[in-house]
Amino acid sequence: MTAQVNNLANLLSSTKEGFQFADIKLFVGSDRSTTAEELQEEVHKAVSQIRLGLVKPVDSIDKGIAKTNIGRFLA
Amino acid sequence: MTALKDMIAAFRGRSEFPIEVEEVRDWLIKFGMQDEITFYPIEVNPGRLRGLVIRDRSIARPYAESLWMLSIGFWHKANPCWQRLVCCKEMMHAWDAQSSCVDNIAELKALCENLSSSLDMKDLDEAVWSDHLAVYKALAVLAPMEQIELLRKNYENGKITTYQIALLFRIPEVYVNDLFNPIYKRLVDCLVEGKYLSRPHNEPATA
Repeated sequence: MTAQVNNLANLLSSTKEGFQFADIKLFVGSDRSTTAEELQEEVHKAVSQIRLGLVKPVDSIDKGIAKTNIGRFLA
Repeated sequence: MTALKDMIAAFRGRSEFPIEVEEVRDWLIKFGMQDEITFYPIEVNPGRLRGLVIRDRSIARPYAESLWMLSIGFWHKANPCWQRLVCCKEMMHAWDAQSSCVDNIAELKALCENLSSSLDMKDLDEAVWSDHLAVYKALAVLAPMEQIELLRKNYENGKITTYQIALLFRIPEVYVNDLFNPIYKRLVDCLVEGKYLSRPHNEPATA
């Protein structure tokens, strides 16, 4: 676990030149039995994918998503 | 610093929904909150972690404001409603006070411990507090109170369902009933006016 923690610290520090790591925040899942270690493991997985370029960023989450007029629900 | 209420005001008067995540991102970049916001579809166990944000700040430059980068990870197989809420919630951390920032490994370990334990108000620290509040800030943007009030009568008399409301705003259905709770309305008023942003509930706000 110490090696993972050290690796996580190194990953968080490895940002673009001229920048420094300033903050991290999490959106936890619904499994209330998750331990702190398990959560940390997921954070490590997520940070690795982002910092090491293992996943490509997406241009759009929902651009052009079909819209609905709220008036439909006000009658 | 441009406030959450300015963002909400920018989307006021809408009749077409949902508000796109890109609109929120573009507003934050345009009005100087953040300089770069990037979304990454990641592989995680969503029961444990739905998403996260890493904030990086430019190293201090004389006579220049800091630049900020947000890298937001969201579970790549989440349905669009969850992807949207996760991304929007993480963008809300653009407003986090310095005192709630988690910028070292010891604080991150503490955050993991606090978020994974059962909710005990006396153990809330600013980082945990800001995480919980950011979800409600995101909902305040994606499902504006102005429109919630328009829908209230038909929601209360059962003419529209929580599923229909979730689909209108493209938010997870599990949050819809919360939106019509009078306590939620008071919380949004507090968040929008900037009160209680960085304090536990039992500490008085400053004037």
